[in-house]
Amino acid sequence: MGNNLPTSGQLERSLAQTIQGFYRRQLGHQPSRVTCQFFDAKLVIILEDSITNAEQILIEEGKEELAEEVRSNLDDAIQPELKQLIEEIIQVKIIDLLSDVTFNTGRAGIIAILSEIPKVRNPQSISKSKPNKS
Amino acid sequence: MNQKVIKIKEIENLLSRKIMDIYKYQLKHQLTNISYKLLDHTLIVFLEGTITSPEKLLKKNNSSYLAKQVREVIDSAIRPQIKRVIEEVLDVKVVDFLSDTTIDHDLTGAIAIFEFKPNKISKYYKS
Repeated sequence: MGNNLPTSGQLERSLAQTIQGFYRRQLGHQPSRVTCQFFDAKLVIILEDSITNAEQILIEEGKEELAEEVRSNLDDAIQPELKQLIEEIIQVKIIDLLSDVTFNTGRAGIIAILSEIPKVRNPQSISKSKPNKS
Repeated sequence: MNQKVIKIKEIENLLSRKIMDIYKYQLKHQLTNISYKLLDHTLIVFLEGTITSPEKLLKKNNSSYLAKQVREVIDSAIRPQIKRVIEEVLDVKVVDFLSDTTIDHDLTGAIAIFEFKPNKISKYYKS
């Protein structure tokens, strides 16, 4: 029965690809790389080059506060769908979502707090496995 | 327990002690647990029990928005100090430090991105 389950690595790769596509569809901007990593009942997502051109222009024009407000509102707008998307892939409920972004580097981090550890073929690896990139 | 596991534990304990001290001295607040996961250039840190009593009281009395604002300021003040502790203990340069807190679940998650793989620790962590 367990053999039908994905490995944690397969799940992390699938998540990374889906999330990258999701950002492209939602914001018209594709992060250059998305890394997903399970850590017990948590999922850590790192997005490289996550800032849209519109936000970039705001920063270049010295409107960092507005850029932060825009980012916060964009996050609020896309998070319900992102949450649903992740839940569908991992088949586990997300009970909270944390996020932060650095404009200087364009890097964003998301941490999903899960209701339980996802069912994978190799559960022992969930806190030991290497990250998977897209 | 082998040497590798002992060394990792020592480093994690030192990190935890220093991070807990920040909360203790700045906020007179005791964290309940800190956990870590080191990847190549990334350290993921979870701090449990980060929400202070005043924030909890605000939330309980329907001032969640104010509690969130308070937390944002506390996180801004604490963030550079945790970053510095990680740099000192692991002897690395942190080029990016992302963090956020959930008041509902009394938890702070942080992602530290290193300039280079930390020599001091990677040899112990690498499986």
